[in-house]
Amino acid sequence: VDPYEGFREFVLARGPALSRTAYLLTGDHAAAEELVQSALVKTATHWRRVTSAGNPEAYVRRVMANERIGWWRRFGRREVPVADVPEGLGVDQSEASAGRIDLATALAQLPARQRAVIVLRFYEDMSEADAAATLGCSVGTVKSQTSAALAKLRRLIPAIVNDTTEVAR
Amino acid sequence: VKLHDELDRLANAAGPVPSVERVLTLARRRRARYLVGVPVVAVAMATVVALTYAWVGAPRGQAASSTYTIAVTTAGTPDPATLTQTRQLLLQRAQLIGLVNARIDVLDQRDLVLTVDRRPDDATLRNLTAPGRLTVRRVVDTTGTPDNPGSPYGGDVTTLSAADQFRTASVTCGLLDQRRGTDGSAPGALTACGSLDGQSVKYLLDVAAVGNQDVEGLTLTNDPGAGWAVTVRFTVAGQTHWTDLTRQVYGDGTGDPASRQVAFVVDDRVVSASAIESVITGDAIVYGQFSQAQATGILAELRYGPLPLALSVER
Repeated sequence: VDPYEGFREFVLARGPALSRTAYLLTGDHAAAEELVQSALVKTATHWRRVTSAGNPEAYVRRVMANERIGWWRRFGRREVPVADVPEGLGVDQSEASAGRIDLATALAQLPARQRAVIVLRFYEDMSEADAAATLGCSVGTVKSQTSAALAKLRRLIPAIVNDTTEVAR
Repeated sequence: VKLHDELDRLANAAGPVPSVERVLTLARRRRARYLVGVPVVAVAMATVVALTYAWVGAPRGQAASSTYTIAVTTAGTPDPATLTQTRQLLLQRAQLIGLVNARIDVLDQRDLVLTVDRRPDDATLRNLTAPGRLTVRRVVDTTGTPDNPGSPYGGDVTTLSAADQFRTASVTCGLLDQRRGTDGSAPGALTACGSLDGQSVKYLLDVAAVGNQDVEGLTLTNDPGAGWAVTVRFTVAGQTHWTDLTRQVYGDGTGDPASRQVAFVVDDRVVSASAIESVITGDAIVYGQFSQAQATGILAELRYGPLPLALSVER
């Protein structure tokens, strides 16, 4: 029997969505690809067990969210020194694009766990309980991390998160 | 601009999906390593653990802490001073109950977080977060109630009058104990349950004659004959209320003892009900076949005054 039966189809169907989440979690193309790949490898290793539990996608997301936090813990939030400030960030002057870059920069300033909570709660639209299960922490932690993260985002970009208080509750 | 939509747009910049074949190759390699690696590591760890036990002995009680979110269920947004006062009261109760390393933090406007070393049981959590209203009332009538009636009352029992709650057999003690928002502070009669020799008893109770404001202080007592009890000392006005109640209930002392009972009600539960054998001019000593933990729980709930907010523990 093929121990990876159905895995190819799973990656084909859900891969793009997972890549999007990974990109939001990392904010960096290379890191996102590495994150998806290592999470998929871990999932494939236990593929039969994961599928019999019913929800492989949730499993991959859990691995990604926690691995991300793990990296952050291991290496700290170091800034990588570069010779030149990359050009191009300010090129597109359209308002929407400016907003997106603001959000990307603002997300980059959040600690990994807060960033993960924002992605799970507001991009994946998970409930507090689901986010807690995904991150393996308590609902209370999700609540406190969410409120801390939102407070920081609101400080950095007032226009963007002004209307999220209802969503957060 | 909505955060969800912005995140969605930002995600459009995501890169390609890694190659499935590469993932599968890595997974096969990892699986092979895993199959060899796990038994070796397991044997090594078992050896280390066994040696540690041999040298140091088994580890003592785990100090893993438990966390509970305590949500405010009172409608509206409480002001910060009320929330702080609630936190203070919870801390005092937790200390009296003896929760190990209890910490209470205000999380946001509607949530507090309890962190404690050893997981408390349900009764303890209830003592910690219950409103803490004491009322003393004359017992009007009592009836037993089957724990499993044919069909329990289907509607909201709180919409029934106290007399109807008492009269309707399908309103069980189970339902009455689950009532939300009943803390005995409402005026008028009350139907509540208690237990006597392990049996549930439903009580129809008169208006409250004594309340929290009548209490000067509470102490825990342990009489070798009668067991654990909570002694209630009254304020000057409270003493009058209590003595008058006992005089009224006692009457001329010729009535059936069952018809001259007084009940001590904490929130919406009868913790003790007993016949009055004389007019009492001093303290009230509340017996109820309590264990030490039960008596301490009641004491903790009542000693520092009622909570200004209704709370519920989320699990």
